[in-house]
Amino acid sequence: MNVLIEAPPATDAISVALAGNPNAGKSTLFNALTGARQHVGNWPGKTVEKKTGALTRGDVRLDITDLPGVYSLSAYSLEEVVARDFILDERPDVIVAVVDAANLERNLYLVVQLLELETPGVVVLNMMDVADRQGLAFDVDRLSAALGTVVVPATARRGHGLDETVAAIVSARAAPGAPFRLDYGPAIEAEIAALLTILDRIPAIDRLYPPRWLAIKLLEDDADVAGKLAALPDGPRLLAAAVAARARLEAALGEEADTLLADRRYGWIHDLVGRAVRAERGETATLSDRIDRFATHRLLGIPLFLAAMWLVFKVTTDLSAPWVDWLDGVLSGPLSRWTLALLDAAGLGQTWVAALAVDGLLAGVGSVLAFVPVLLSLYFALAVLEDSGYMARGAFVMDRLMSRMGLQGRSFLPLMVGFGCSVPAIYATRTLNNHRDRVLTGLLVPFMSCSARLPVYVLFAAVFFPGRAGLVILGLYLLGIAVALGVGLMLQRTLLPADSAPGLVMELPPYRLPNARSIGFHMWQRTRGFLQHAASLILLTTLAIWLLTAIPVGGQGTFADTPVPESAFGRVSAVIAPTLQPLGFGSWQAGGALLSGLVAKEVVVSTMAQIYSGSSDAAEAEASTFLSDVGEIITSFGRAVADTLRAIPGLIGIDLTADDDSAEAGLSSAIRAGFDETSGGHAAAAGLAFMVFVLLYTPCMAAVAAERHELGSKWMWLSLLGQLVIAWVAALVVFQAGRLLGGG
Amino acid sequence: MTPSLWLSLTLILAVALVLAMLALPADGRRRLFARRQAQPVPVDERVTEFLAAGLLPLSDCPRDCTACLRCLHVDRCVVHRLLEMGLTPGVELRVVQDNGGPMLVSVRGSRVALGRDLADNLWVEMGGQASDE
Repeated sequence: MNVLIEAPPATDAISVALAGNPNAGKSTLFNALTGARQHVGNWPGKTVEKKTGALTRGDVRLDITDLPGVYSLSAYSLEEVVARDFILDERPDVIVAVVDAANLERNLYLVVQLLELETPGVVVLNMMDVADRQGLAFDVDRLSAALGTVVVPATARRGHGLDETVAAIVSARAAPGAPFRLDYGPAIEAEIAALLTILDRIPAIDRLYPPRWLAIKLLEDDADVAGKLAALPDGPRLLAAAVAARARLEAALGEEADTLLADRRYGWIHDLVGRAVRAERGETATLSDRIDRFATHRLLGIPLFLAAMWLVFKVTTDLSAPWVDWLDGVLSGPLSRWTLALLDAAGLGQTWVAALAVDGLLAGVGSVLAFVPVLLSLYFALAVLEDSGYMARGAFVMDRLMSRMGLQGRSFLPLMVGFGCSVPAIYATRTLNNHRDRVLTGLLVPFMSCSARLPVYVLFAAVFFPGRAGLVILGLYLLGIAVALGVGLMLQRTLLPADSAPGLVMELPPYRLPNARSIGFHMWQRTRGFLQHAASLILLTTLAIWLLTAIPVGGQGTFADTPVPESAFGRVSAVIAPTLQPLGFGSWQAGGALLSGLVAKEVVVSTMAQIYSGSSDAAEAEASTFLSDVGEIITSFGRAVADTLRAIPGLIGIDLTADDDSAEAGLSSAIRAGFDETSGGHAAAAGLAFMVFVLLYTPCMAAVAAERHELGSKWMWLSLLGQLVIAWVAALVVFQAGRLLGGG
Repeated sequence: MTPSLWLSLTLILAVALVLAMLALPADGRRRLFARRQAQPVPVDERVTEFLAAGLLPLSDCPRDCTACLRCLHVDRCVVHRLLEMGLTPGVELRVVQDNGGPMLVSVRGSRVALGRDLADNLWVEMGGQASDE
């Protein structure tokens, strides 16, 4: 599971769990401690991210696991269950509780619960710099005495307090203090004692879980703990006793038991903070509050948020575009030539090996690499939004709107990014904090028409709807949104019912300056995740399509040298064609173009050009030397840098780059003739149906791979097949309606 | 990225937003769309009880108003979320922002956003002092 632990753990390897609230700087501390030596994956069977890493200091080795950020250990969310199960089942040697010093009261609530698990702990008082600026002074000794642990002041983003943290971990393992006990007051303590007497009778219970913690959880009516205990011999009796105890408490104190316990914890913490923290100024409206006056304003909030989303969208598309082009140029130009030259030298030129290497492998690698600049720029934009704290404001502002569609405010961002490219959009669903919303948003993202589908619309709209092309394209985008809305509503009624938790409860962290180091980390890790998980599927699909075009079926062609209609690809397309007949484009050409669109929507148009005009664009075999190739790579790299710089003004709406789109007249008439034939004279209706099909059908393999990576195979298949069905039905409706209405 | 795409995307966004705003304003529709089994909120006697006791729903508190949380009249699992964010009965809240949608309150030194329908069911005492002070 953890690839970093290759050698058997040294005698001094200490397993450490890092726990804390979201926004407490837990990841920053984790990165500062482990550096690049970390492994990112998912918790087994869960869609929650698991990060592990190691740190060696002298002869001490720390194996650190970064637990998901949680506010308590009540097992009401997936993250809480993951964090709690790890501590209870894996039994780390030391728990490091990371707290935001500037927000101590709320953060200590989790710390108290962590300490109740009776594992040696260290409390890291993080973000001391922020607390200092707010004029907070801490009595660390008093905190330490009350919590029964070492308390280390630190500023992880500046690297302060790291050595002290490591030293505290080592000493906490060597000499654990007495178990922490919070006094819940006479009434509750009496019930805890009563439950403990029953628990003590269960043999070896204290080797399973700390009994006092179990008693507290039983009083809190914790379903997870109740389930675990019900199976034990004395379980039913225990649960019955817990029910009675809760009823007694409620009758005596007028609140439900879990509210009473939370109230006691917060009361104790409030008291401690009052004694151990001195505020030089009273609580006033902070800078964050003043910014929020605008950022969450009734009228300004949404336009501000849309502007921010627009910036994200432009960053992912415009800043990455020159790099995508550069990679493409390098791969299809110099690299292809070098590969061919090498193969020539090996006597394999002009054979199927050369074709496989260039058209299969290099093209596949190219389609994987094409996403790297896009993802890097997306993760850059996301990390800036997340780290600065603005993402939570966006969610706040959009919540009213999105909640009416059964989603949360944060879902807006992935959907927006989906207009650029589905792949980063699906990865952007990670910013959502619950599984159900991630899945629902991930399934809706492909309906947002990605920019790769645009060339298809442009070509077809120009062919079939000259003069009204803009309107048709706009209509397609709107149709995508409408279908997403419909599918969203349907999924909510069936497979993904809204959680019983109504309404939003979300912390808005204070605004902070994003940290370049952590942004870099984030970009690199996430992009690496894509390369590890999605690359193989994309590569395989590209190879499969190449193989299909290479295999001759009938005809005179030989392997890797066969006309398209006589290849397996052509034959498969011909098999598909009849199913497309009711949609008005039942030809093998249209089928083939759609099939190739599975690899990437970008290639639909070029495949059509290739198939309809029968002429593959013969690569101009320019004589080039190795040196000129290297020169070309470097100059085009320079051009990409320049283009990126030129794209930056474009982000704020100034477009310096001129477009030169020219549709080939020959292709247009060939497509028109082809569609005329298959649709029985209703070419426009068929053309529209084709566009609708392209809009709605299965997204490219990269998006499918992303869905598998993020949502799991089950949802991937549902999305893949569901979209195919939706696209078919929608195209059928469009074509048949168009035919009946007499659209020529 | 062509300028025409920019334009059309902006248009789409604007149109979609306006449509959504226009089409789904009513609370009844919100229930229809957002959740089929919204928690049953009959005119229950607790509400009249709260009103008689001089309590107000949090959503009626103006911005910058300080209030003392008295009763969390919501589902158990939501109560848990609220408790862990520090919203225990008796705690003092300050309304930081109220823009008609979710409310932003300051509680125990942190800022917490609360959905509107949630804030409707949190009963507070205006200008009260926290009981544990």
